[in-house]
Amino acid sequence: MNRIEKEKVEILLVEDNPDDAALTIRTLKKHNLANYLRHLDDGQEALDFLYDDANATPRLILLDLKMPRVDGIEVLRKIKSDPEKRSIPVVVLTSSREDRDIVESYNLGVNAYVVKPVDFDQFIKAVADLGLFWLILNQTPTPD
Amino acid sequence: MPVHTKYRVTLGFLSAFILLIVLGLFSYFSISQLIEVTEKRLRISTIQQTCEQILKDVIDIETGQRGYVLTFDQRYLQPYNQAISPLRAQVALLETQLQYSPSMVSKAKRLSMLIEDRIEHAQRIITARAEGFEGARQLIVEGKGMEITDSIRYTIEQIQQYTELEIGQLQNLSDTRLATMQYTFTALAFGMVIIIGALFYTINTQLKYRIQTEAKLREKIVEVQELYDHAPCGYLSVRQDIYLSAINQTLLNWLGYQREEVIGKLKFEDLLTHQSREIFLESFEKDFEKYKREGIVNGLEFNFLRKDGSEFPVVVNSMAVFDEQGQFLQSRTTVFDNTERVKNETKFRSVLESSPDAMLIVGQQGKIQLANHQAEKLFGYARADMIGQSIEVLVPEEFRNAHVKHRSSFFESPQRRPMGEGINLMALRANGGSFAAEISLSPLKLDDELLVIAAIRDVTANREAKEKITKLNKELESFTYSVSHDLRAPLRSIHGYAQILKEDFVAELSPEAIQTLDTIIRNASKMGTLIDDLLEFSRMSRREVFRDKVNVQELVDQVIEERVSKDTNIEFNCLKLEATLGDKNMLRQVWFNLIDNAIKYSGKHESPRVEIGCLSDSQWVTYYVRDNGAGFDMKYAAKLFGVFQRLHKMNEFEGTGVGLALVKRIIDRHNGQVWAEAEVNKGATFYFKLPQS
Repeated sequence: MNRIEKEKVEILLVEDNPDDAALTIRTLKKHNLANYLRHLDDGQEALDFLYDDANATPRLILLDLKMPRVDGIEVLRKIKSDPEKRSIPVVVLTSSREDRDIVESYNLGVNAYVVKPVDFDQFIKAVADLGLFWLILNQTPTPD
Repeated sequence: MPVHTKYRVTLGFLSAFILLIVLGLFSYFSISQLIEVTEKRLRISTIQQTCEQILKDVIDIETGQRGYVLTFDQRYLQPYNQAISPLRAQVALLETQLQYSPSMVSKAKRLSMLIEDRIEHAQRIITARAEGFEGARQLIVEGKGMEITDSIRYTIEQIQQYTELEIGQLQNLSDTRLATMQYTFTALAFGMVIIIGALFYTINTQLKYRIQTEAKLREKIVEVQELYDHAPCGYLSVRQDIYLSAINQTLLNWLGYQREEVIGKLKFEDLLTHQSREIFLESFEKDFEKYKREGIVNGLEFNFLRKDGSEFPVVVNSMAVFDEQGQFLQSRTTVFDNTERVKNETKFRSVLESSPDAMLIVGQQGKIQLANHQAEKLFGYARADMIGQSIEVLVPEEFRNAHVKHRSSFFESPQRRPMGEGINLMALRANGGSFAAEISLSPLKLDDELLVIAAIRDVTANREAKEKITKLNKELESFTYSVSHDLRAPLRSIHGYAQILKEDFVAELSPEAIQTLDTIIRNASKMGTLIDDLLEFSRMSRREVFRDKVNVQELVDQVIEERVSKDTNIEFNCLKLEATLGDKNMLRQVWFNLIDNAIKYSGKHESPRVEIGCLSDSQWVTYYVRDNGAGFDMKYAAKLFGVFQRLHKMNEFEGTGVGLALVKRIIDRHNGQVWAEAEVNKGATFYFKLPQS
């Protein structure tokens, strides 16, 4: 996976499990949505990416919840409490279907909460739908 | 009526008495008057006699004088001489007799003069005869003598006429008097008869009434005596000398004595057991004075001794009876058999003592009134040291003020509070140590006094265990959370990479290899479902149950709509479903699983049919889902709701064996019940019922 320039990143995938990440990327690629995708391994990396000098604003963030160092909830809170980053759609893509995670995510302003299906076919469908919806169909406010 | 009669009788007697006096006086005066009249008549007849005597004497004188003149015989002078002095006496008598009438007195005087004239004239004739006949004849012829005699006759006649008149008057008077007397007397006598008759009647009536009243009174006395004797309580009276003066049959029966063995022979204290007697006599002098002063004493408890030596408990109330001078006469004492109460009290005490909990009875002022053996053991105080103490002694110091407030608010609106409700309570032992306590409170209304029965349990161990369970639950929760996350991710990788292998390298793999990959994919998928179901199951177990009104009809309609689109050939018959109270999301899961099962197990029937309905009473609403599918053998019914329990082979019907376990868990958490009836190949009916409140 070749590194693309930060400002060109459209999808930011924050996922600590490399297998899950690989499956997600593969699916998105198949639908030709992964050209401007950056994969990061945990929440700390995601925050570093979003808050360095380049001040990147990807078009979609796919965020796992349970990650080492800084977890997904923390990242979500930071993004959604930041007036400049708040408009970036964040989709939680996680294995957890715990009520408290779902409730907290929505309280923090998550745009969608998707539980990763174990079944690969379903997983492919879910990820493809997400990419299509958020990158192609969804209209976001134009950044200033 | 008696008062009225009394006045009537007095009045009757009084009038009879007055009438008698009137009658007497009247008789007396009437008789006196009659006597007077008679006396008058007697006097008048005497006057008449006197007049006649005078006339006779005058004639005698005349006759004597004439005879002498004719014969000159001295013998003729004898009647003449003999008549003169009686005549004079008679005249004088007449004068006195006529004294009462002045006109008659003058007549008498004139008569007296006329008679003197006649005597003188006669004397002159007699004297003249002595000188010769001629002189005498001359005097007689002159007629002076006859003249005087006529005058005398005339005067006497006048007097006699007067007396006759008087007699006539007297006669009239006497006749009138007699008649008046007769009438009056008759009237008075008649009045007397009437009054006496009325009196007799009144007295007789009164007497009869009195006799009747006395008879009634005697009946009443007998009745009262019977009531006294057979009252459900004992009665006795004690005289000033403390011997029994009266006792009723009930008490005699209780005691086993005959009346004559008791009256005047036994004292009150002789009826008491040795122990009661000592208590009674100990303060008798003081108590007896107080009793005589206040006139009443209530609720004394004694043990009575029967004649046969057995005993029974009594409650005694007594009233003092005084005479008019305020001197104590006797007691009037009521005795109640207290056996039942004492038995109940003993029962109550033994219930209290046998309670596994420490029990305290506390009054409104917070004073401990009763404590059981467990309380002694739990708090480490002797019972006597606790009774009378404030309940706050048993409360740790930091909670005391709050406890006083709790206590007064409890007494303001006393309500039963069961064990284990409310906050974690602490209690204080005599040695200063404190312990976690659970306390139940029950208000107890006793003789207008509000008490509270508190049962106290040392729950230190419980509370520790509870804390442990909570901790374990938390651990389990985080464990399931990691399972949820960590187990699913590798599974997805297995599934995903097997799929990728199959997709990307299909040309290089043998048919066996592809079959193997399919098996891996299928099992990974199944394991995923299993994990999801399990997580759902544990999630439902831990989640709080919200209780709202749930429109079951709407819920079921939604579930059917969601589920049925794929299986159009199933005939659904949904009857009217009542609303219930519960957690909507959980109940949706129940309906989903039951309807899903019904569809699944009737799927192999040629005309599958599912019926949904409900029944309800005041306490429960029961829902059911009935299908005409595969059913099951009722001997496995017990296994139906266990986790991973399946009654069908995997290749017959798919499933993880979690669905019904989840249904049961949810219904349990709603305090409801779930069960099923079925027959192999004839279908199954699943019921669940939920409480109405």
